[in-house]
Amino acid sequence: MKPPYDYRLNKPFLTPIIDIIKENNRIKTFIFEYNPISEPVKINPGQFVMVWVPGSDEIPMSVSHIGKNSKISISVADVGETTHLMHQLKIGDKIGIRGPYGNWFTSQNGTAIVIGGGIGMASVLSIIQDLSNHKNDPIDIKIDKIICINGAKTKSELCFNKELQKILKENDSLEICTDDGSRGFKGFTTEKLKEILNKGKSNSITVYACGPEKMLKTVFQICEDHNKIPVQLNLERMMRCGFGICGLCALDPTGLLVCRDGPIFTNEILREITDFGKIHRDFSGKTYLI
Amino acid sequence: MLNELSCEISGIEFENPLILASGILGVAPSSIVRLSNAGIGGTTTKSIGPRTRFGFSNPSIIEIDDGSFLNSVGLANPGIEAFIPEIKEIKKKTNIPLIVSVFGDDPHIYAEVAKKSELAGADAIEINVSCPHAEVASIGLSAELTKKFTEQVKKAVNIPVFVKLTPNLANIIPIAKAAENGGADAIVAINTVRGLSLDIETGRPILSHGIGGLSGKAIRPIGVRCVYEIYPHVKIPIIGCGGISKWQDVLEYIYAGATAVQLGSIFSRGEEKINEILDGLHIFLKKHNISNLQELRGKSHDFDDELEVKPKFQN
Ligand SMILES: Cc1cc2nc3c(=O)[nH]c(=O)nc-3n(C[C@H](O)[C@H](O)[C@H](O)COP(=O)(O)OP(=O)(O)OC[C@H]3O[C@@H](n4cnc5c(N)ncnc54)[C@H](O)[C@@H]3O)c2cc1C
Ligand SMILES: Cc1cc2nc3c(=O)[nH]c(=O)nc-3n(C[C@H](O)[C@H](O)[C@H](O)COP(=O)(O)O)c2cc1C
Ligand code: FES
Repeated sequence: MKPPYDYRLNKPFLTPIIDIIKENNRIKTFIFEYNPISEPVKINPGQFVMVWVPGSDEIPMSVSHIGKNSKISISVADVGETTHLMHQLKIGDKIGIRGPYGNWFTSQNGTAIVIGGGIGMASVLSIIQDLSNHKNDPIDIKIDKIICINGAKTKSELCFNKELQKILKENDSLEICTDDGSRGFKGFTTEKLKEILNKGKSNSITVYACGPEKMLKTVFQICEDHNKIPVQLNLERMMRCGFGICGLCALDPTGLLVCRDGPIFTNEILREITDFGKIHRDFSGKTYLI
Repeated sequence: MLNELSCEISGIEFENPLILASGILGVAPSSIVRLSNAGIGGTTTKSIGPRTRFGFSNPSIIEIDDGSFLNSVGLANPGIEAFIPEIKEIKKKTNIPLIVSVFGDDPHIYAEVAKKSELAGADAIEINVSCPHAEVASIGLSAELTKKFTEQVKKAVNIPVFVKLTPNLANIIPIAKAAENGGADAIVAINTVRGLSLDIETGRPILSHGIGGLSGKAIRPIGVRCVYEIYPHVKIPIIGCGGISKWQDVLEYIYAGATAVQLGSIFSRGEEKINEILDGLHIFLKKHNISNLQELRGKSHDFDDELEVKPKFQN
């Protein structure tokens, strides 16, 4: 689905942080109200906003929680200059937000397998909530089971487990993976996915995932090999404008823009994208191999 | 290829007069291929310099009113060496004219980047002496420098050279003439207009660089005025640019004296705009029984003698 275009959302709206939650040593969740226009702004699972730290940079961040009364959150991993600065922010400090941008995850009937690799979990949290809502209240969409695979390098980098346990209900499952085996399954989320697919017999499965691109590429290959299981994968690219004018986030060879045609892509499109799992562009527009 | 919208600039034939403006979706070959498939007549790349340049940090592009944008991208580009394969790929995958926009620190570097672009397959060079939030802005403010830079690039290449002008001066005519005297094959007018947007709560400039370049709807009357002013003073073709969002806007530029036009900010609304504009032009020409759009070029000047020159006073 394409988002409606609203020019009023293309300029940063400064809003104070109303709460900060420390998820682990590397990740903090920032909660704030986003009400830049007179009517409520509709935000869908998997959409992202551009976050401006006045005096520093402005970077893309998935919306991790879509709450009531215009309350939303972003969950930020401290990986570089701007994210590090964000981790020093206090309640009451203002950040600039514009968006939401991009398409979104859409809940599909049947079994849902949701994979979050590292901070990638932040961008799938809201679809897990959406799936769970549909499961509790099966009017148009019927969800049989939600299997959530939460992976990280090591135990201390896992996040959102408590929250996931709260969202997930009986007969859903939460699979924890660490590369070093310090907690849960020892190995990559993709190995866990293979294991689940090999033993399970569910017919209508949809896989939703966000994480490092190498992981997404493997998830895609596994799903294609398993009778082309439909996927919705959240891709990341360097972004400048976020609304389809600078061209920095274009994908070869189709020219699809991650900020506007994505960030969530399905099988038919992923099959065509030669850049997927291979090529990114830096802020100058120069390509490099990942 | 001749049709009612086709036009020619310095020997280069365009199937229609809509050309992608520099810096919008002009980073990746795939974007240019996509616009070509959507029916655009020609494309211009992002301005390319001698080396990798990250430009200014974000926020560097915002929309300040419906269809009007402020940017301070600051000529971010991968540098000509990294861009050569991209030019080759664009040429391989499209068959519409490709204009490579170039800039540099001095006339020789402009010429060098232009030469490399020509060898990679560019059909024309556009000299950017007009980006308002970068060092090159000062060149476009001086007739002498504009001529000198144009001459150097002309000497270096065998393909047509276009010069893109800034509107950020009191009188654009001497600069347009200087470009023509320097050997330019066409003039592109205009680049963005210097502007500023401030946050209402804090008073802080929103763009990381502060002042930026205004584009989109808000600048169309400025662009049309510049083309209108330049047209009677030069013999070379003019490519109109600034704020085009519908077919009527294209006509305005053609009436003012443009041969073709460039479109940028409107692509925020999707590439479908190309067909919408082309359809509108086709219908208009048919309705008025005009066989080629170029018959309307400069039509506004038919009325030059009728314009009121002096204000009226009481008594
Ligand atoms: C659609 C989308 C959603 C994202 N969601 C989240 C999220 O929910 N939580 C989270 O922690 N991170 C998220 N990211 C990644 C986040 O944007 C980067 O980690 C952040 O920009 C790093 O900035 P920095 O200055 O701290 O680090 P830097 O040292 O400047 O950069 C570190 C790395 O971050 C990436 N990056 C830097 N600037 C940008 C930019 N303008 N656009 C895209 N990537 C950039 C690059 O890969 C870079 O190598 C998302 C990215 C995208 C594209
Ligand atoms: C994001 C952005 C980047 C631009 N980058 C360049 C550039 O690199 N070189 C250049 O000559 N003009 C650049 N421009 C100016 C455009 O080419 C064009 O002159 C201007 O936007 C007016 O046209 P428009 O109103 O149709 O957008 C840029 C404009 C925008 C909005
Ligand atoms: S970030 Fe500018 S087009 Fe996607």
